[in-house]
Amino acid sequence: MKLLHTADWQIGRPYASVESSENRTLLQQARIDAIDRIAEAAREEEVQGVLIAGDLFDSPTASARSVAAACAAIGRIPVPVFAIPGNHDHGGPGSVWEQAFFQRERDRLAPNFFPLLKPEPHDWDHAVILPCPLLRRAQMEDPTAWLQDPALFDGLDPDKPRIVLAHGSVREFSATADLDELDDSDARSANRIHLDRMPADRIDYIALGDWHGTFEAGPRAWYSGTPEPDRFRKGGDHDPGNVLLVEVARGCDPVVRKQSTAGIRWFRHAFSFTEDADLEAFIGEIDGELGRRVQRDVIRLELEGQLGISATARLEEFIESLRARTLRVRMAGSVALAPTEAELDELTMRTGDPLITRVAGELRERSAAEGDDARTARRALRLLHRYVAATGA
Amino acid sequence: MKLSQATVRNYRIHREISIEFDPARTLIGGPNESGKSTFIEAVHRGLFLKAKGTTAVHKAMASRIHGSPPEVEVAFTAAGSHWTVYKRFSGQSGIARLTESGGRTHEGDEAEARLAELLGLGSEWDQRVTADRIQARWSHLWIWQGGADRIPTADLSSEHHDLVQRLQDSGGAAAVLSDLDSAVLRTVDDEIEATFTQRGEPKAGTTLARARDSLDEAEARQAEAQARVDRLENDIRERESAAATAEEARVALADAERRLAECEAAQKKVATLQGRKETLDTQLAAAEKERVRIQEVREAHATLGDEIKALASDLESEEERIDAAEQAVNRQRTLLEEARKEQAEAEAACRRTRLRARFLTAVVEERRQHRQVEALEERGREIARLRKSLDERDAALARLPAIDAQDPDRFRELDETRIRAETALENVAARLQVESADAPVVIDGDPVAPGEERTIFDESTIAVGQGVRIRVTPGGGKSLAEARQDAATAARACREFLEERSVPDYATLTSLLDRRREIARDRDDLVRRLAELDAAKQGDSLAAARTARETALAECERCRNALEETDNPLGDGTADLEAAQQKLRDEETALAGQESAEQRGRERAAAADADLETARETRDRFREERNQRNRDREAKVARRQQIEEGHGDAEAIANAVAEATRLRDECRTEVAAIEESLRRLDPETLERDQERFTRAREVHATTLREAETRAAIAGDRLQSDGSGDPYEALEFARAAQDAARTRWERLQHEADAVKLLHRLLGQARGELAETFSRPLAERIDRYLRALFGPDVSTQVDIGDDHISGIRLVRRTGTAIDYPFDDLSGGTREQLAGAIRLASAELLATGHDGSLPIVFDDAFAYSDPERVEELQRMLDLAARNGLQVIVLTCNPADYRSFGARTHLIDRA
Repeated sequence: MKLLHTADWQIGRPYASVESSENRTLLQQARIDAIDRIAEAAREEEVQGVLIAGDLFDSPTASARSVAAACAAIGRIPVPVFAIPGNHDHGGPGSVWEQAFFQRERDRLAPNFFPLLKPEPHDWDHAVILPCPLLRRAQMEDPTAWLQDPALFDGLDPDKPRIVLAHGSVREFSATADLDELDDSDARSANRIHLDRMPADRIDYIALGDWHGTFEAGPRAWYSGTPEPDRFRKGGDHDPGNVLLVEVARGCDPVVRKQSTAGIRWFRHAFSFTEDADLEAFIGEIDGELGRRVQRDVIRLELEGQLGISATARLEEFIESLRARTLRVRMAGSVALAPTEAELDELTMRTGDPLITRVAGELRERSAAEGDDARTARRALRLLHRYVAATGA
Repeated sequence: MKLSQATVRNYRIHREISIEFDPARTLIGGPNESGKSTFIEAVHRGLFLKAKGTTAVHKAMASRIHGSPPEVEVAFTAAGSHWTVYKRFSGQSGIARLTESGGRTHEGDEAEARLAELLGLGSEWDQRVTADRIQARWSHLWIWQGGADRIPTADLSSEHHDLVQRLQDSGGAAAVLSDLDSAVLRTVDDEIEATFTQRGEPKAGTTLARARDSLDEAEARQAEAQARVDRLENDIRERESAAATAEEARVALADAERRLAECEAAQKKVATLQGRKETLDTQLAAAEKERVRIQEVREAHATLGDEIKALASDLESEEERIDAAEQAVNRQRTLLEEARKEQAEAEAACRRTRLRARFLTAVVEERRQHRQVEALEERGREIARLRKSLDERDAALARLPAIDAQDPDRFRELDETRIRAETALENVAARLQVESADAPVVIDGDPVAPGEERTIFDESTIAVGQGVRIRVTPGGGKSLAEARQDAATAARACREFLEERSVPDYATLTSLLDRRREIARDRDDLVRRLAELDAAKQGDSLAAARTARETALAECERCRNALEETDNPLGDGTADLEAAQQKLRDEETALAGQESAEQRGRERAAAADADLETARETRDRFREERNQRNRDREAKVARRQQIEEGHGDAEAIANAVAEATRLRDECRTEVAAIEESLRRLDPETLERDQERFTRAREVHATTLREAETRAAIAGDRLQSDGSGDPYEALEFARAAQDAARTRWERLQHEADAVKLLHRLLGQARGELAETFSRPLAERIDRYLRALFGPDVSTQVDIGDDHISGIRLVRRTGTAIDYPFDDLSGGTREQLAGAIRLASAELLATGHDGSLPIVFDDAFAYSDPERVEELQRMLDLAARNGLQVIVLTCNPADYRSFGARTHLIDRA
């Protein structure tokens, strides 16, 4: 049989740090659009079903609006869809899965959608699904622990492939991996899945969620990653924005294929300024990266070094224009304001203006040091520069 | 510019006065009202008032004494030349003439205009004339009476432009703000003004304040969102914990109910056993009671048998005891009779002996009295004899002359008196002997030859020759007759004394006296012996002795009659006293022995009597005891009889006891078995357990109910309509807060930069201003050094059109904290003087390096000591090129100034 493995849709992700509400809407819509690409893939690849390995929603108390959007999109998938709650949308009292409005929307918009909320075998037409739902955000016991009972498998259909559906981490990420890939610190020690403790020969595929890059976690065990990227990549060793197409049969190794579903591009750009002339090079690089794309990118600018007063002003202008062309510009690091010698001379060598000369000299001296006072002095210099330019003009 | 000379005519009180000024120091002295001030005012008008004019100022100048219009002529140097201005103030026809030495002469308006130019006057020259305005011209140089204590910033304002020019010339040009400087300064001031309050806080409504408000709001919203999430999570925990509690309570409730059921079954069994035990307990009690009763009967029967037997045996021994007692009584009775007999015999013997003793006592008395009578009769005879001798002695005494023991002494005294009188008579005579004579010596007419002796007793005259008569008085003056009289009296007294006692002489007197003494001694001896014999009582004693003897004789007779013949101790004879006394002592001895024998007999009889009584009592007591015992025995026999009638004989009773014991033991065994069962069931614990399980059931039921309710409530709260996601809201709130904080911090940094810029601009501006005004400040310092010492310096703020401030500052930089108004008038005068002199110095550079400065009695507050200091300042000014002109009514105060001095007398 063939199925589509996905996870971490995180529908309803607020993107709260994106100031523009229009851009937030675009980012949120991108996650819904990804579902439609999944539906298309399911149709084209003729899979028997779609498995969502947790974090369908971004929050355990997802709003009715998110639920409606998700259900409507799931309803457009032509095959049954199975999902378990992950750490983001964990089950339990008060969770979205227990709310009446969720039931209504599911019944109305997505009759093909089957949330699996209990750790018990689900005997589907084509396979036995072994769901490991999370009932709280951070769970100390292994959510797959119930599968360690050998007697469990004795009662299962011997011909159907057995597919584990679980959400959590398979190793100590805190020591080895990039923390940026994890949602929160809880996940570092909680929700640990011990693949080696599961009876390998009795299971045919383990569909994992939580890790946003596509990643083979062990024999027959895969993280599909999120279908729509939602954070900046760091390094190249993992790879968000995909779903997995899995061919699986009882007693055989699965055949796994990756398919991209990404919409929005998230990228970092690092640059160090050593002189004002570097500014043009930087602008050139960014322009090259973006081309004519508009509102399809989220950029993280990691800038350092220093620029003179007017170069700083031009950099600020450029970043403002970038904000219009992208969904978000996230600034990391900082470019020090360092007036050039020419700029300083312009202020301190004015023999006809004893007051400005005197004050500029004082500020120049102060700004030579380190620390907050020096920074304030540099800002004051910039101000003085601006006033002199404005009044002189 | 310097004044050289001035002449004033017809000006108020002055007819004409002319003074030449020293180029450096001029002193004009004169008393009050002498016209000093009028003179200097005239000079001032000559320079600054147009000659043509009819204003009040012009009119005030006219002299009331001198008819002609006022004229003023002033010679001065200015602009490198010597000038003379002449003005005649005659209304509209006033004349003004200005002559340059060696140059042309200007007349009228031209002269006025040129003069104003030379004096550096500006537009004010053309102003309408008033007294104040005129007075104000050159008021920084011209200090009117009493005006020296005013800080001259206002006075200098008309010279401000010049002053600034001079300061720029002195190197301050580089410190003047450019237009750009000022524009930037204004912009920053405006920015600060618009953004911050006086206290440096952001003003309401500014971007900065709005950013701060936004941050506050964002923080509040974030806290609110967090609280909502907390409530949600709390509800989830509550729901979970309530569900867990409910499950635990359900299990515990079932357990409690199971245990309660077991407990109740056991209690039912206990109740059954306890019912049976109660019945058995009653039966057991009855059986035991019956057994005890019959056993008691058995014991009573046996006891009675034993007692009766014992009583019979006791009775036998008691009868024997009674017999013995009876015999004892009889023995005692015999003993008593014997004792009584012996006692009677002893009593009779005593009676007899006592009678004999009484008889003998009477005999002894009679004998003793008899002897007494005889002795008393003998003493009566002795007394009579002694009394006769006494009478004889008394008669002998009566026959002797009555001489007492003192008479010899008395006679010796009289005799000594007599001898002394005769001796005195002897001593009255003087013995004269004529040893030789060459003339006849005649004593009382009797001539005495040589070798003759004469005794003279009376007053005599001795004549020697014809011419000598000597009067002699012998015996110191006492007369011879007196001496003779005394001797005769004494001899008579002696004679009369002896005659009175009928004795011839002193020897007889003393021998008679010895005889009387001897007889008296004998008599006294007799009297004493009579007393010794108690002569007075002798008769009575004798009578008493005789009576006593009669009484004793009668007693003897009575006793003798009572005595039997045989019993008379004396027999028929008599006896003397000693024999009778001996007999009596013998009888008394015998009586003592008999009386003690009698006493012993009496005691023995009493003891025998008591013994008899005791024996009788013993016997009677034994009898009574025997009777009692006999009654006891009879009673017991009756009781045994009664028992046997009821219960049969001893064997029958023993059978009944055995039966009762068997019945009781059967009951007891069954009860013990039931008790063992109950003990095993432990009803008390069962009861407590039941209470405990019941309580536990209630508690668990309550817990279950409450937990279910809590779960339901929490579940209700967790129901959502999906209208909002608290986590999403929290994320937004956090992001908004971060954004607000970033924005606020950015603005705050900008604000800090503006503030820094503002502060530095202000500071730099101050420094520039100080640099600019420094030449003036330094000049002032030079004058003040004398006043405040080297540590104080001056700061002058030069404003756009006036000096905006003058401060005193210590070298350390701290301002001296006292406003000028608080300084004393004297200090203020010095300070103002320093400022005037310093600015005049600066201004002088535009006037050929010199300007006149006039002090018209200006220092009203300065005492001579301070005037001394002022002179130092004035001298320094003169040295620095100023022309100092001082008007004073006390020229002596300025003696050390070294000025050219003019004195004006009262006009």
